[in-house]
Amino acid sequence: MRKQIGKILVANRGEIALRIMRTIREMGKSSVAVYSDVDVRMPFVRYADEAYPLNGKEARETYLDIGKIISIARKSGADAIHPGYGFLSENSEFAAEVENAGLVFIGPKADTIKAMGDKTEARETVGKQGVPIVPGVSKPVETLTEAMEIAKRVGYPILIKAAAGGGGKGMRLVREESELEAGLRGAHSEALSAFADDRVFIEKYIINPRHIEFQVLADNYGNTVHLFERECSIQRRHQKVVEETPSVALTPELREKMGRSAVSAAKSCGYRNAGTVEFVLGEDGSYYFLEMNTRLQVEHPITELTTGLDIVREQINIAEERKLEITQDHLARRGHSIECRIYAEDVVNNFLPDTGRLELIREPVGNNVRVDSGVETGNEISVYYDPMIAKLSVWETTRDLAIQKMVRALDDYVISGVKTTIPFCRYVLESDDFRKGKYSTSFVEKNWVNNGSASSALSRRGMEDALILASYKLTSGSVAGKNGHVAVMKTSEWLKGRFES
Amino acid sequence: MPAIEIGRELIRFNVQNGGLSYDGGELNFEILEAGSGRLLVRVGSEMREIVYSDTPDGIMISAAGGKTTVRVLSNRDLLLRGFQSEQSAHRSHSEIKAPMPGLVVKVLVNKGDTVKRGSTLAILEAMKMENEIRTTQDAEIGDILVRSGDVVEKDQTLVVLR
Repeated sequence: MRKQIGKILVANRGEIALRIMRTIREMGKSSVAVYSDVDVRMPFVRYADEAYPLNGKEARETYLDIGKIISIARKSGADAIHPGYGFLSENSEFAAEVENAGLVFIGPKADTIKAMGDKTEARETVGKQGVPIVPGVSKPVETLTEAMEIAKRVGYPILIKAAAGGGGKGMRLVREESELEAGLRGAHSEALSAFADDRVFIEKYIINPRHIEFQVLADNYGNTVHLFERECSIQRRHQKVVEETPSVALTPELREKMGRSAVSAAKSCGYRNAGTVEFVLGEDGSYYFLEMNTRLQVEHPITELTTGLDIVREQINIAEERKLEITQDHLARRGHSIECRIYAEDVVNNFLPDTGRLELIREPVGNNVRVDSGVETGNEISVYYDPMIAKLSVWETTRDLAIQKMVRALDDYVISGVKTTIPFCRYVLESDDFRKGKYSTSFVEKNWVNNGSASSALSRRGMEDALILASYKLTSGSVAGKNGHVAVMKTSEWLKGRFES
Repeated sequence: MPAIEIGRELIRFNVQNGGLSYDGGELNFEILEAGSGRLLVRVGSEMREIVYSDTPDGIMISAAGGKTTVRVLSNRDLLLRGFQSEQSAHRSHSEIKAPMPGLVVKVLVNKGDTVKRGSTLAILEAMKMENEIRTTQDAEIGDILVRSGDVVEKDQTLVVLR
């Protein structure tokens, strides 16, 4: 018997809340937003059919407060909760409590989240199904002595990772023994503050690795398919910034093999709904299971653009206990898609987050350009949450055309008020290494830190604009003054339109 | 002659009738509309929109393809700074400021230390991340204005460089 979901509470904010609500609306269902005090003016709050305050600013007292969210879901009469990504999306306790409250959790079962969320347990589970695992240890490392022994055994460089981790938090790369103590301490404390769980483990660090992940979909009837790969090797602080599909690093044979491994990994834990199996790919074509993300992934749009599927729609259909309509043999992918994540960050200063009011936003549009944005002019990038502004994705028939389109779209993007990752993304797309497809997760260290960020060379156009602005600043207030060059024109209609858009 | 400063480059210019001149050329333009962070400008045969915002570090221009912070220096500003020649125009980023509000977890340098470009000076916890605050130039550490455990505001000075 199928479940009927009529109303869905989206336990998230920003672009992903909006993106989920759009599909909910297309499916003829209604949406419920929950929002913190800081987010009251954001578009997702208005887009929802109903919106309820979470009263508070910090994530802990708002988007991470299980009790508040479930009580709002009950009060609003929602049938289901979509957790989005981040926040409670991979919290098994939340998934369990949602189900206990008689609501549908749009995602995998609570025990699957738990099993896959614990990276140590996850490796054991998928390893048993013959999926390759990175050399390392499968038990948490506590003392420095213990860490030293393991590091010696697997060989430097090593990676220290939080057992409960994700998003690069609680992760440290250690190149030699002298860095081990600081790395271990940093990973422990960051893991504790981010996940309230300080367990970390150690694994061998693959040199020049590429991050390849496979999107999977699984229904309640044992049907599991993969929607091909995404390459997410362009990262800073172990967090993705530019993603593309297909990956230039995969041959058709390797793709098929990795796809089969991804499906095995999903099946090994009885996976249901949408998830992502992450692999690290070495230069020699060897690949290892990294982890499984038991939720909708930030970079899912590029899979949607190349497969034509709406992954959120699939998630809701699966939650309603419908059978998958697609089969692996009938799945086809077309063209090439790239996503750039636009964060408020200072790219020349170690990608430090920036905050401030978004004075003006004008998004790129045009053929095959998709913008998943959660903010508009006047909104604030605050210290409370992730500084993401939007995700910009493009589709084209070939990789070269997709790169050209992305450069154009980045140039068309106007964001004023905060520093953004746009100049970095542009640098990536124009770099030889990216164009040739010869890149790895060390791109930032190899290319950007030593070259890209150091060259603050301004384009001629940029310099001209700066000079014009400077002369305006120095003479403003003296309109039609002695220099006579600042003349205010009577605004004609077409110009008006330009400004009001 | 006033100037703009972009990164380490100083470009002097002269406002003149119908435009400006600078070392490298002349620019004829007409500002058609100005206000709330944007200018509509006709530059020769091109119509341009210049979008910008004012920040404590200068004017941030959201120009096609890049983002740049520019300082506008009037004659008076230049005098105050004691500029003697183009050579000495290289501004030293003499203060390291907090890029966001947060908690100082650790200060890693002492007064008098010499540091290389890219060295980490302090660790600031914000947005649930430990952010490494680095220097963008080779320098000697002057006064240290914060201690671990301090809560700082955005743009608060953490370390003075000499």
